[in-house]
Amino acid sequence: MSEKPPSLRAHVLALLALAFLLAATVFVARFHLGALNAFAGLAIAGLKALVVLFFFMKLKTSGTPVRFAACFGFAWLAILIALTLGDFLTRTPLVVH
Amino acid sequence: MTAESTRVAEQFDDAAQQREAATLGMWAFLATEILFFGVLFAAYTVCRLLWPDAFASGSRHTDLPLGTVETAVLLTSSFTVALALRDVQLGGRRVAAWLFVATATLGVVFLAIHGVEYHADYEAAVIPGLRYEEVGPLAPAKQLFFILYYVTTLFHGLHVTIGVVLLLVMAWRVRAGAFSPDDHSALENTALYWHLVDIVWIFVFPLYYLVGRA
Repeated sequence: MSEKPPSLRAHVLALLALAFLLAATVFVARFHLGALNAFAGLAIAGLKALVVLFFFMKLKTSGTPVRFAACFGFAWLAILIALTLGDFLTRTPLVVH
Repeated sequence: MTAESTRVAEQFDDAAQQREAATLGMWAFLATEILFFGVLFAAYTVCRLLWPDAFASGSRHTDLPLGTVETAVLLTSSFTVALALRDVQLGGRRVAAWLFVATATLGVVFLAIHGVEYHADYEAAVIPGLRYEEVGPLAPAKQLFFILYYVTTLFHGLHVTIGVVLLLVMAWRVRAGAFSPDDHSALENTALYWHLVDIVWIFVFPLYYLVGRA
């Protein structure tokens, strides 16, 4: 029993979506949006990563154990960054800007 | 293809279970890769919060057109390796082998473009420890931006290089008929590795190339 191969159409659409998101992120970066620039950059990068994860890396059709394993790396990274920021953002400033 | 053609190790019930175990193991490895690059991104986050102006100024030193092309090259290479895998699943061999070679070639193109960038950085004297001639109040903190930039992109480049070698080995093995539609876990895992290297770059791009471009 072999798994069903993904459709060519899905792969082409995924590539087109990635190309569109790349153009969008470069376009948005040219506008003065303050903190929203960083947010937009990361949000679009997140969307691109999701396209790669779900379509190219096949999480869309993977079983539950594989999906969990895929989440763990990102979840640990979120914990790492959240706890690190929890420290740095609550310190009395030691560094003169 | 019949199930009998698949080599199922004795600890597995069937080919599907064996395949899922291989994918699961690969994802466990990829989680360690996410954390490997993750600490660099965490360090970046802290430093950028502490010295936002220096990071915006440092980011403007990177080459946006080249960075955009590099991103497009890597995204396309993810597409070609996905197509290669699909072709193997459909019983293909020749086209799949060439698609693996095409993916490896895109990886080499990426590395070459990055080499051009490093050369330009050397000319502009923005490589701390090697040639750094920035002056002004932002110069010390900008060094941190560049150090993180080089450590991240060099480790990423190392991963691309490993990926290129793996892809070429896989191209050769596909050509030799080492895989079948229901027995190609090594290809699946190589593709997963390549996609993850792509995802790392997807985050490098806005953080190192797109800051302070307005």
